[in-house]
Amino acid sequence: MPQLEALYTKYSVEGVKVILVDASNRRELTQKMIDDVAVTMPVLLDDKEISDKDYEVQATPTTFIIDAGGRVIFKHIGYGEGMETMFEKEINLLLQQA
Amino acid sequence: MKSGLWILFAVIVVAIIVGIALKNRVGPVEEADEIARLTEIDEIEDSEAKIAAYKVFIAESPESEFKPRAYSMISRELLRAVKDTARFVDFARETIETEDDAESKAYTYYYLYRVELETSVEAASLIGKELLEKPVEVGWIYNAIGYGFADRGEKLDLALAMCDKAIELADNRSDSASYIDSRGWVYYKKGMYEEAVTNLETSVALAEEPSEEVLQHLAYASLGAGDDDKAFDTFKRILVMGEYDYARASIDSLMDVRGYSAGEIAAFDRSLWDARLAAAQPAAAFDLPTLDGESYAFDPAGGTVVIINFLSPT
Repeated sequence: MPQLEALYTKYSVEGVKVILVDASNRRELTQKMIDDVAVTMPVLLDDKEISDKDYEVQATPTTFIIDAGGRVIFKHIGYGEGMETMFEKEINLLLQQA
Repeated sequence: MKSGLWILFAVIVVAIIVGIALKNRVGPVEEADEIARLTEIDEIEDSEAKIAAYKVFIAESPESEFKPRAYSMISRELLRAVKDTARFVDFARETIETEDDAESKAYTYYYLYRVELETSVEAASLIGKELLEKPVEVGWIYNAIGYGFADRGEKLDLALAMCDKAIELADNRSDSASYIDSRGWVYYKKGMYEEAVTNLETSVALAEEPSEEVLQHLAYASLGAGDDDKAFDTFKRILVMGEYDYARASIDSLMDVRGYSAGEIAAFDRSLWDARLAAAQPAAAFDLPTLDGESYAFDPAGGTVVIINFLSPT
């Protein structure tokens, strides 16, 4: 999550948004986690099962990168070392296309 | 790739947690009550009190489908918070001895395997052998250990036996696809590229949406088997999913071998981007509460690049 926060800080000037969604809708635990890492990105609680119904999230974390045309260009399940580099590459690709 | 096993494990653990959370909304009263109890226990600060509370949960809810999670949380607490490996091993051995629930045993075995792996691959392999001698009817435990050895390139015969057992126990298409992928990766590590390709192609065909990782396995196995065309097509398929460095490097060198001109390379990149756009699905709009109770609306037509990260606190 600190990596996503870093991406958010770096690319928000380019208009890139980063949104965290607690798929399990557990306010207290999520608040605790956020407090631990000082997050400024919007953190949402999925009280409408959109993770399941609209985004078909089968395991967390799952990350979606959506282009300016509203299309899901990239999806990644899980978290591996160096994923933020990959996310950054995708963001740059999309910013170049714009 | 080295972190693959940890990712797999994290995904398994989190999938349970999310599964529970999702069930929370639709499950019957008894389930909701069990979830509420588990959530309360999760939030207990003191490790000993937390472990004791999970044990009470297990004793009072012997039929609960959340029992494996309770066992799993005790193991985690002993290993990560209390940091007492010997005590964990005693707990694990007692669980394996006395518990009838296969899923609970499987989780316990998995933690035990991870602990032994920290000592040596040899010690971890004994857990694998024990599971083959005293089977637990849960496919994923065999797959997790088999794949783990395959990824390390060690104990490959044992890994193969573990994968065979996992495949035998698979009871749905998605699990079969995943376990056959593992077997293909074992064959790849053994240098048996033809067998690897056969298994990996079967896995790709079975999966509704083959993962980048499975395609990566197939691409490398195809290279090993000398089928550069299949490797090229598979690396391209991976690049349609995302700009993965290894796939880009492999495609570059295959294009080099084929003697692509600068113009052909540019045309390839354009076709790749077109394929990515064609494969991209429209994102769904949503309106959800923030932690502060405000409302936050996401509109895909907002004209900006957006990263959405679905997570689950642990």
